[in-house]
Amino acid sequence: MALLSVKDLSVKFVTRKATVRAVNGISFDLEAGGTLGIVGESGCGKSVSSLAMLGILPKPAGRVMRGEVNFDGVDLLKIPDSQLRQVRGKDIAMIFQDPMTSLNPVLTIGRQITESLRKHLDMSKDDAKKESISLLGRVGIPAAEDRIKDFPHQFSGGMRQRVMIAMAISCRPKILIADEPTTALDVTIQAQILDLLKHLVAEENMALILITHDLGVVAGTCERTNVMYAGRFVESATTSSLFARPRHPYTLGLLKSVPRLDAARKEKLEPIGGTPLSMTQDIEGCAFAPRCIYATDKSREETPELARIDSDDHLVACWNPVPDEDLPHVEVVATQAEGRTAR
Amino acid sequence: MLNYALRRVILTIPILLGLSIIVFAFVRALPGGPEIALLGERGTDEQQEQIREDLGLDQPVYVQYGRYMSNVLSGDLGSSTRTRQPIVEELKLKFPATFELSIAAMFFAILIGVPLGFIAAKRYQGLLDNTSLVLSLIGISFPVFFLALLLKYIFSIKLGLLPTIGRLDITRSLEHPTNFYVLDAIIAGDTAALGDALRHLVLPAVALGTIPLAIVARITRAAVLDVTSEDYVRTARAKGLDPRVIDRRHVLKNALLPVITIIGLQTGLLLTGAILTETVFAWPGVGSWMLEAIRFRDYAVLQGGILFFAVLIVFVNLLVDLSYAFLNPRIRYQ
Amino acid sequence: MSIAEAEAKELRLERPSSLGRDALERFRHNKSALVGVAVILLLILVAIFAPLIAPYGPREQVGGLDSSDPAGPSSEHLMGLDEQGRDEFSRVVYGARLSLLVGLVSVTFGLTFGLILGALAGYFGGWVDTTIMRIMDIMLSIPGLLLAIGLVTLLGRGLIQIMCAVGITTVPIFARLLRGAILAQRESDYVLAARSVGVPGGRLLMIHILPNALAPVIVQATLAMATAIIDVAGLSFLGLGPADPSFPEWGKMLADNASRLERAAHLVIFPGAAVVISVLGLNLIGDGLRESIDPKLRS
Repeated sequence: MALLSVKDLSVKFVTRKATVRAVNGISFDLEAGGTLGIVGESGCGKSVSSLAMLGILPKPAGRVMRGEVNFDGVDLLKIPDSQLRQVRGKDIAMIFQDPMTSLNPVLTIGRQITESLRKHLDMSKDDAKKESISLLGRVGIPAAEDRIKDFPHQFSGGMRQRVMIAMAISCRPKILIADEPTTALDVTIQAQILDLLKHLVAEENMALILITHDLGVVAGTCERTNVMYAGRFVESATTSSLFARPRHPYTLGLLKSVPRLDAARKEKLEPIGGTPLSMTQDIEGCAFAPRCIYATDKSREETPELARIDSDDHLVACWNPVPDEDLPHVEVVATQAEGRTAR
Repeated sequence: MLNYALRRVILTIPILLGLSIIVFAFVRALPGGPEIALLGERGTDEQQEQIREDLGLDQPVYVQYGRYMSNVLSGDLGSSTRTRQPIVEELKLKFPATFELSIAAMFFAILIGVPLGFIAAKRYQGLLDNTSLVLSLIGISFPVFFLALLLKYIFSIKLGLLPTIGRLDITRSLEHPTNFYVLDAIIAGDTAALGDALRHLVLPAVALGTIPLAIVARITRAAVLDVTSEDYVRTARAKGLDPRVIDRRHVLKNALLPVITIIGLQTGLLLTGAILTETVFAWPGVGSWMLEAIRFRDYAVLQGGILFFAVLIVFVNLLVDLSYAFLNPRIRYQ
Repeated sequence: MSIAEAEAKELRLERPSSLGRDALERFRHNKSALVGVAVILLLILVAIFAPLIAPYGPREQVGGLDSSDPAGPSSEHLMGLDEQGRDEFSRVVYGARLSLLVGLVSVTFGLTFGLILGALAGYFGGWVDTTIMRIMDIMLSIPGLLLAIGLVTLLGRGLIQIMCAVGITTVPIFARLLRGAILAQRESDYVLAARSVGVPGGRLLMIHILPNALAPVIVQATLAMATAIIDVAGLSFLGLGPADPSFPEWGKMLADNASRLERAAHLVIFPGAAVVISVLGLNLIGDGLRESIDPKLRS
């Protein structure tokens, strides 16, 4: 049985002005130690889905409409918050995009690490302190013993993200959700952080859900990648298949708009035309149809569901997927033993 | 931190200088000239001559200013036009009363204001929130002297629950080593006197502290709302921490920083409020003293009082700034 | 704002509308602000039509002179008689005129000077800025009432003097506000763009910078009016108001009758309530405006 099994998760935001359907029925499975990437543009609902899974949607606006989030046999959406708190931070941990604002400015980072340890693992003050020093060392922060007394503003951006990672893995979670962990960082630091995550995944046999808008980020880190648009998954495949045969027009568009080192000098970047739909109205047909060059009449009338294409573990939600001739056939360096991450 | 502290202290100097110049100019500009103003109509020719010499009125302005400053810095603020008593002596006597009252008012404002603001923020847009917003708006719409009169009327005159005037029952005797009646009662071990002193403190403190309370409540609410929507609170929730722990360690610790600053800045409000409130309760502090000085054109007391108040406020502001710098790790550890 | 909220926001394609229209829209829906508007409109009407509303003149002797025990409210005299035998209701009504006048004049005075100083400081910068701001800082370090007391002592007592004194105490607030707004705008991209094509400085100030600084100034002006009414009442209470004993100013009425609290509470309660209601109205409007312009404040 999969470690995490999400079925038909739907989330909406209710405000005075309008109701936004942020997530419209997503499903996926995650095995122990597997790595899953969720890719999509800002506002497609990718972050919201994780917040919903952990039960920390902003209240009172955020509401789960339906769905199941089965973790270790328990549906996280159905248990009371007091129970959920035992899972949060302990079995499932999350790190966020901006490490400067995501750390409490008035607490030492030592304190911020030990508070998880003491709460979830019932450690004594001294043990927790020792453990926090060792954790900082593991994430690559030098002079850890001195640094635990420091405050977040005394660290650089990359260091802060390492601190957040240390906090997250402190209780040896089974799943780590990383929401845009490198977006706020320099490119060189990005690579270091992603490397760190890969190492930790291997060392701890920890599953990873990596949420990002940047395809380049998932390329080296995730076995499988799901592409999200307007609150739904539009394509799900192994990362190498996704890059080699992106069957959904949106995925193809994403790939084409990313600058590549091996591209011909005069080759232009092709952005995806149009703007994302407002998610306040009910969408008829395929959400991507207005911007899609392959759209047909059926696309505009009926909403496509995820269906198998090419192989058993490549799914796409499209009435008129990208034909073979238009596929870019990009090679992606294989990451880890494929097949560990279920679809 | 040290850097910041030093800079901040140095910045105070030009302000104090500016204040002294303003008050100095003020005395020179008083109607009738300083001799009449400071001595009153009944000043004899000798006394007027003395004043002229003291102030150096025939000397150039900068010499006058120099004299003035040397007087002030050596603790001589002149003597009251009415009573001919040295102003500094009177201040020593009357200030503790006002100070005691201000502290009680501040206590009242914080003890009720902070929890109120916090709960209002937690139950955002709930009944308590909206009610507290309206109440705090009403609170700051009251002239403090009207509030004092109203409270006195309802609780003292009509309901007879609390005493109308004074700091202590006139029939009661108590030694006053500190001139803080509450402290004096504690020192003397006189519980009856303590109760009496506290009962006399209630109405004036509530009257004086209501506006600061309204402000503190609003600021606390705003600060808590701000902090609650910050990313690090989301991180704390994601760590699975207990909501009460989150409130205490993550929300309040950050939200109270700006609140502390605001509390310090209420000093000005308290001092001017004292001028308007003390007289309603016949509270023998600096406030009612100033009021009399205004009524009786006691310009000597007035200028001394204004200088004293202004300097006090500048120092309290300095203290508040330094405390904030100390408490906020971002400034403390540069 | 959390990522999720940011995402939720971005999804909504906003209808393009000017800042003013948006703000007005929000203001219209703010219930307490509308109550404030109603109150102030009432106040304005009472002030304008005072002679029609008040049954007697403010200085008119009506009843018997019984200063030790003035008559309380009755069917003839809604708010009773004051210590000089005058109809209290009429006096309170006429007092509305004074309060309104006082609020408007002192704030206009303070606003004008404050804005000029702030504009000079913000526009020229350098030592002009430093000097002006230092003076403002010093003024601000003396609490408003104290400063006003000092000024009135110099200027002498009287209604005009009080208005000037209170007006002067509001100057630093407006100066700082405008200077801050100008500084913020000066570095903004559109101003730099305008300058690079040669738009002259003065024009820049008037057409581009000032309109954007207007919003907070309006909010502050409303709140300053509220404080002005309270401060003027306070100064009257201290005996620094007009020398004329029969002047129907609310603060003065409070001061004159503070000693009669036991037997003539109505002479304290009615004028006091009038002050509270007027100031509350202004505060409600000011608060409502502040929220309309920056809705983030509420959420």
